[in-house]
Amino acid sequence: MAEEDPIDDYELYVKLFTQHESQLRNFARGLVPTWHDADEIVQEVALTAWKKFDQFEVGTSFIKWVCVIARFKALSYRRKMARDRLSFGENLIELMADESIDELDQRQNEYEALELCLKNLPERQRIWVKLAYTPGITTAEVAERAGVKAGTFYMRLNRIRKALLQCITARLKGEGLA
Amino acid sequence: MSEDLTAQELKWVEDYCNETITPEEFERFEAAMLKSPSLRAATRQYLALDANLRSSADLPEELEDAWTAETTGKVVRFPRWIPIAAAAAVAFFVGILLDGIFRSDTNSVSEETVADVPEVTAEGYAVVHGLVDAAAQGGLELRVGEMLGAEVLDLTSGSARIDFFSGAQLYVEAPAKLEVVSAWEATLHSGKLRVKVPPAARGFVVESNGRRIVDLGTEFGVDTSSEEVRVEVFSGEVELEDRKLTEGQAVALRGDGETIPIGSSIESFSNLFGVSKGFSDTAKRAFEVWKKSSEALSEDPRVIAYYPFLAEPSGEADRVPSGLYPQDGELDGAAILTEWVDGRWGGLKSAVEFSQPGSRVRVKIPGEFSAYSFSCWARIDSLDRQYNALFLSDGYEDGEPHWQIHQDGRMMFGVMVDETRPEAARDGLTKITGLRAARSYYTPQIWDMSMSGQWIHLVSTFDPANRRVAQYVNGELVSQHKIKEGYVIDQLRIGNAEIGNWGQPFRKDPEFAIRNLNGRIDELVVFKEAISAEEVKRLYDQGRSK
Repeated sequence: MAEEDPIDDYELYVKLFTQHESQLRNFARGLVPTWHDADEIVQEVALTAWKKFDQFEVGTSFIKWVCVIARFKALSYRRKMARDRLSFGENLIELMADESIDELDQRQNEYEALELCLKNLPERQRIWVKLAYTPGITTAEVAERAGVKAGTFYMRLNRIRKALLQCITARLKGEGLA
Repeated sequence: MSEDLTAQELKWVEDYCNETITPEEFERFEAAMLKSPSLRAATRQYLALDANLRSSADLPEELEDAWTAETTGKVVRFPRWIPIAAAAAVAFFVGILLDGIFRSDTNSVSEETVADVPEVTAEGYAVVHGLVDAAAQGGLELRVGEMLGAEVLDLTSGSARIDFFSGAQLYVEAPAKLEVVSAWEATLHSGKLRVKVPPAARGFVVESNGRRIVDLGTEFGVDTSSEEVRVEVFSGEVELEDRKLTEGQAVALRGDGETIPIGSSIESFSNLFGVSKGFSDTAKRAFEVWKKSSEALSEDPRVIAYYPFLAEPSGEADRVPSGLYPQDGELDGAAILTEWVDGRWGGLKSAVEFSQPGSRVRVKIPGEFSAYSFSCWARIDSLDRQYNALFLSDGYEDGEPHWQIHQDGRMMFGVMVDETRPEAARDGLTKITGLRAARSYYTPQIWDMSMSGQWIHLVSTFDPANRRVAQYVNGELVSQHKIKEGYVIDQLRIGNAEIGNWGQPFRKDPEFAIRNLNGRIDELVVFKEAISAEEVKRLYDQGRSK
């Protein structure tokens, strides 16, 4: 990284990071118990990756590079986590991270298929998904707002996610990508 | 990929993703993950979907506006719609201004950026010292070593030892609701409690039903499972508002303020004096006795359906094998959202739990019969629904049975007599279902919360030839009814039916009545005749849990 011109580097960094941010969050989600934890990891990676951006070789895979950083962040995050959190152990985090790095393309294909599958979802189910994935609000609150018990809410959500996964798998099979 | 998962695996992944997994299940989930690359891959795919849904921008904008407008005031700590790059930009400029911040460890950076989060301090009045098969309300995790502040502990199964910081030790047995008030006081809203107070904790107060029990250095028990609160002193002395009790004395504290001396029954607290682990020899013997009787049922020509729930079929958690010989896969049940759990004799045999609203075992039993009897072993945790299903036919058409337990604890056995006949009469027994003349026969109350978690044997027999309905609990006849003129039907059917819930899967309407039994069933037998009282007694004796 050209030390005399940090602004240009910064623009490149922001461009790369923005481009790969959802892939990174996706990767982090597989290692830690909740979205919130994944957000924390992404936030930490964003800072560390910028700090170490001079070590990044332009032309190599940026997403793989930040995923490796995320792997270490997840491990140290795990060590700081309250003991009573239901989090994967370090062995499993390592396994999941190493296997995830080989699946980045597949995840990207799934993400694209998901966009199409969501379009075909019945309106009511789309509203459920939207409710469930509104940040900053707990499931109990969402369930209350939707007028159902939390158990019912999860059940519907599970069903919708299952349907979406089937749709994604079917689409990718159709395209010969899975 | 998700279709490669077993029902159990899928449930783990879903519950983990929803953060509703219990610590015990999480442990199993993690162990299975370490062994199975395909489970890991499926979990990654599932969690990636979770993450993608969260970042997906494909949802209607107007909906988002409506929703966010409604939720203003909620603190969104890191809203998704502020791109992380913007946060990085802030950090960048802060970095230029505060030279050196990036040189410090990133941990301290995040400490700077989230400085408004209050520091966590430990607080509490008590700590969970030990647990035996304990589960709290709503699957909340309860862990040894966990600190308890002023809070209510709603124990739904097992038992727990809670050590108060005053030094008092409380042993509580499910079902129980215990409120930690301070290091010196607890309120027992319901359930059974044993209190051990060392000299240092003299003056510890247990309140129950508005009455205060002050411990003067002793060991005593409190039991709220009957209408009045029972207090019994095992050793030492306790003080009530109006008297002192010493070793061996017991009283009933009535709601109206009266205190009545009663006989001692220390044995009812026996579970709180240490719980034996593993399978006792008695349990093993009882299980062997049952196995013989189960084999006989398998070949009994009068038995038209038999589900012994012996064990989870390996890799097919959603299949409930029929126990009839010769084996007929057509009679196998399909389990939906149920869990294979320990049965009457702990791990010696399984049972199926129906705790989720959608839990059910679907079966199809062909044929037409001139009488029938239903026998099952059930462990009810609570009666959460207006009607709590044991065994219900889908359509409730002519000659089909509905066997369930009313919320008020009465067992009810119903048969649809003529679904086209207008039903006007109402005599307390007749259920008016529009045009459908059905009849339900209610026992007196046979279940209350004090029986939560206990295995009970239930039988209902329907005998049109003798115009008699008879119902039994734990081998004893609890009610019999005459089948009145106009309600006799001897062409009986079952067809599509459910154990543990009521399904109407053939209706187009996706809504369904929720009648899942919050509990377990570990054996269900259907006979094509009305079995005798002697036979009911034998089934009970051969299937008792001890």
